[in-house]
Amino acid sequence: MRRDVPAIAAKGLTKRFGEATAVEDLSFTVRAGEVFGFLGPNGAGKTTTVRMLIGLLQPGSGTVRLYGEQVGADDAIRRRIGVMAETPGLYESLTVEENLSYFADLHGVEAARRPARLDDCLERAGLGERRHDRVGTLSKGLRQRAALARALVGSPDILFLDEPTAGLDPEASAAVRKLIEDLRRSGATVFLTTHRLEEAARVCDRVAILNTRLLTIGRPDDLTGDGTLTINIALGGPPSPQTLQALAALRGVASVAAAGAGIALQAESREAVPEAVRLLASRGEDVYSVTETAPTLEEAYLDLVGAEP
Amino acid sequence: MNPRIRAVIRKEFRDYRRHRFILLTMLILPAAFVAIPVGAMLSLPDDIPSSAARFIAAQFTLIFLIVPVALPTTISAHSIIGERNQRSLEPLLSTPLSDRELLWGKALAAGAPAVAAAWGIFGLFLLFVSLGAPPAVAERMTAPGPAAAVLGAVPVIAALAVVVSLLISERSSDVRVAQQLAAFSTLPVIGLAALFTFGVIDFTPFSVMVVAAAVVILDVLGWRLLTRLFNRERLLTRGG
Repeated sequence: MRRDVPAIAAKGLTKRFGEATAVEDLSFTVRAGEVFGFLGPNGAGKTTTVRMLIGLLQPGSGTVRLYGEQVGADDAIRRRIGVMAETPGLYESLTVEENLSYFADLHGVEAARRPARLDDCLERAGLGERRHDRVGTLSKGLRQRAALARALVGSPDILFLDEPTAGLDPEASAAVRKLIEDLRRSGATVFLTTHRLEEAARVCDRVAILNTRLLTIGRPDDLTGDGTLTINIALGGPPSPQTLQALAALRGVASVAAAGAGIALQAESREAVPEAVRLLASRGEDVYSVTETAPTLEEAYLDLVGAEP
Repeated sequence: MNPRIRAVIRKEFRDYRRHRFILLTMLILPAAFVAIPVGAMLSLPDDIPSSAARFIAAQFTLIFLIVPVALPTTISAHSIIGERNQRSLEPLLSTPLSDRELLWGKALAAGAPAVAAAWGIFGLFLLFVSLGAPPAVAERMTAPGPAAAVLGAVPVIAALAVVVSLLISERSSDVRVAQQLAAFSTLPVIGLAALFTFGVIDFTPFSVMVVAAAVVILDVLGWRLLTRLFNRERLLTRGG
């Protein structure tokens, strides 16, 4: 696998269904071995984009290349991808193992390698004990895990995961995140569509936010604003205007506002905190607590998506 | 055979085995189709005239030509729309499986058991014939004509039934509609059988082979239409 060729390269992707535009002029690349988060509200075009990336939908305009190869009717590139769709889409009358075995056949996994491959996928998804259960008898969360195991069965170079932790309990969600980490270590590329922003911030190297058009793309840290911290200082009562004025004059303080019986202070760094506390103490204010809030990906997301017309 | 087509067939057979009613209909329908002519044959007098024996032999043979239409239609009508309804179509189409491989797998999985059943029950019927049919009927039934008709025409008729049902399945947005339409699509074959029954077309090995050749042409045209109309995008994005 060549590391210098992008795992995914989308250029000018546009897709319309009748009058409705699902995706417009979308361009981005995903590096080989990267965990790439794809975020956006419902109807933003995430599923349509994934379907174009894996060759299930033809773009109205634009191109998609996976490891430099055009995605089309040719099955060669599809040997290198694993897909976990929005809904598990398993065969309910078959067992978990039979479902996986079917997809192993379709991916051309050799018969001699198949038992070990199935064991590995089932273990990774935590389904070793349930392999002989019919899918129809499984809970939603277990089906989700079975679909994830099935996506892994062809040892994909690129794994497309659409909401992989939806419906999972916290323990299972943590296991999926660990699995994504393992895949990253093994050099696989993961394209993760998710609504869980905190999850994206935790596991993704980069994220893109989409709302029909690409709103932004970058490392989660880079998207969480300009690095300004919010410091909440709880006092014995509402601060006086003079106190607010004095705080605003401190070095590194971007803005100050009264917040009930306290102060919300925007600071460029934590260095401003001791200065602010000393100033408040010198003015006779009782400081009960100081808490620091870093901006989150969720705030960045809501800012971007909320700002859309 | 291509291993991916083989995988689709294996999965379909596994699925049939898990659905008791599919298995039951696959067993009961052929059993009924063999019971009817056997029952009729047992009620015939031994001294049946030769002209009547000829007519009866033709009717018996035609019954075996209806089996390959009756058996696979509901199964193949369900095949594509069924994948769509259980949301397995998207993961399936994301694999290296091509459209043609999927359709071949589905068609063979539905058609092969019907052909095997038709041939099997015809063999069974011939056994009953050799054991207790009136001599004139036995002579007609064990002549090369009926056997050639069943061996030659059954696969092409089954292929047509499967192709038409797959077309319906691919274009429908509701399983019930697909299955009803597929059942309706068996009418032309039943109509053809009626033409033989009422003597509009003489039942001879030659006439059966001419009809079979015409059905082969329809098979080829139907298959081309099916592969041309199979559209991943429409299947994944259309509502209903």
